[in-house]
Amino acid sequence: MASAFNTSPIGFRIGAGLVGLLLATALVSLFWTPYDPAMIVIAEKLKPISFAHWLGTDHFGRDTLSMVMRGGVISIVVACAAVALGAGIGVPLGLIAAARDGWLRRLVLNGSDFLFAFPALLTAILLQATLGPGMMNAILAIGIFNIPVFARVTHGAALPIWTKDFIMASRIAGRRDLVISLRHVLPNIGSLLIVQLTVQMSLALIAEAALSYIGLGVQPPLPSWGRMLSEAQTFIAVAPRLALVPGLAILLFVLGLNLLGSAMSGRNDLTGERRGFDALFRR
Amino acid sequence: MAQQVARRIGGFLAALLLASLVIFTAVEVLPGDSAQMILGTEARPDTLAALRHEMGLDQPVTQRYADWVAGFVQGDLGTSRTYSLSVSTLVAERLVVSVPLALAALAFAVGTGLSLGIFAALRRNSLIDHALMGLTQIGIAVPNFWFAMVLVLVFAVNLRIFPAGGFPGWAQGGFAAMSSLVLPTVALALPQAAILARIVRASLIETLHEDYMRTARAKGLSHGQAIRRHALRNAMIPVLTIMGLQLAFLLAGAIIIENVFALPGLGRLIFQAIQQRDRVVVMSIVLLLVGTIMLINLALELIYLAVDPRLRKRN
Repeated sequence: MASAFNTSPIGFRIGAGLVGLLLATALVSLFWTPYDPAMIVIAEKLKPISFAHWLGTDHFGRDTLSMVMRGGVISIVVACAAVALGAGIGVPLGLIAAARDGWLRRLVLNGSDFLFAFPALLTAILLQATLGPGMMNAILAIGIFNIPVFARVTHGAALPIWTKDFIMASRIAGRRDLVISLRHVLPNIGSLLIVQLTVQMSLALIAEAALSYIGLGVQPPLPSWGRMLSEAQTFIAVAPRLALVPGLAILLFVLGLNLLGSAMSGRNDLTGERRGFDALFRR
Repeated sequence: MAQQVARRIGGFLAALLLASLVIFTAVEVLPGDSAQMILGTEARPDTLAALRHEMGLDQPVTQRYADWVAGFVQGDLGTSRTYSLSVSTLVAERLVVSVPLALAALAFAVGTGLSLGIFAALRRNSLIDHALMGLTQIGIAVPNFWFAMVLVLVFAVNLRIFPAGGFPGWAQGGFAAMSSLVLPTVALALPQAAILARIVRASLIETLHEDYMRTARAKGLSHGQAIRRHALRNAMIPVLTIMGLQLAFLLAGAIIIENVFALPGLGRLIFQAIQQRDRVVVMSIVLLLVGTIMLINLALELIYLAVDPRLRKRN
């Protein structure tokens, strides 16, 4: 695996490095942060970068580094849950649409078109009327928007597989559509779905930040990157680093995921190298 | 052809009706009695009944839905409780900020995206191509509201070239109004410009390798002529799809960017309405935005139908 990493395209290595670093930081923050990220010390408020506080403190005297570390956990959990929800419903729908001709396919595809007209932000606005703002609202809103994305991609990728000879053989052997979908179609579109997962993860991270920033997502006292940005805006002239740090964390994580995604899909425009998903993992 | 067009328009109307039902259920039915929420649980029954009557809540749900939809069709989007103004008036006031912002952002994104994409594609694999594509990777990864804050920090707080927020209105002269829209436009357009640049580049590189390009050169066109007349035109087909999708993203994105810059557009209106539990404002604006997105998709489908004869034959 180490040799595979060293010979892989530069974009993949940078992406894996960034994502690995930020995931590791979030993981560490569950057990250890320099300070308690929720600890308010008014005497220490808006302190600049120092040896005691590597990234300074915010308007409540909370340690920015600790908050950014812990904030990543919430942002990552929301993004993962939302994408899992979208893929968990969208992929089976896409498989069904590809396996069945007729009204079922039309229902799935028309339903996807319909959901596409509801960006996550608008869904969040609708859901908050019932659920109130919060983590659940963000997960559902972003997740619902991901359903048609995965349904479409799965359907589009699965259709050509259904015309292959081995599917015909399987049908002649009397296998049911469900078995064929799971055993033959799904493994053949797996790499494509993994690429789509990384792309949707990066979009979900940005969406979570946006929802929390405008107050529809994660609520205080929970720290998330979007919430930190929303609090930092008031102090942008006094302490710009409060806005820069969580924004950079989002930027680097999303950049890492996108680089991973394009390296895996074989569309590496950073170096012009054309190597696919298979070349990365099946050696 | 006519049948295809009629079927698509029918589909659009059905989707719009379904959307109105979903939005009404989510905002007006599921959350419960909004008069009770406004007055609290301690309210006197007669006050409650009076407010319910004033808000029309004593009518059956189906009647309220039918009234809302019927009004919408006639251009009456309901009356805002907090402003005591018709929602159409409020929306019209805000559109003079939101529409110029979205269109300026689209123009900026298309202008930058097209020129960078074409420039990079024609110098494929050169150092500048790699540098530009690296930059677009970063452009896509930047959350636009954060980029907006960075722009405020640099151009408003430090350099003092543009205002940090607010909108003086068009009556004060176009210059002040436009200069307050510059930073929001750039922030809103950046990720879209980056996406567009990458797609234009990929699409143009693909068409440059087509057989018809060799034919074009063989019949005596110069390299530049062949690119302008054949490669670019064909490369624009996927680009058009993305642009349609982007307009939808720009409409939603504008809601957040307007909040960063305190611009009195639709985005501000909808958030104030959420905080004041002014439900009819929320419902009507969401339906307007969703309807606009659906209308853009319908327009794109009809354009394809007109442009691509292959689509007309299929059923």
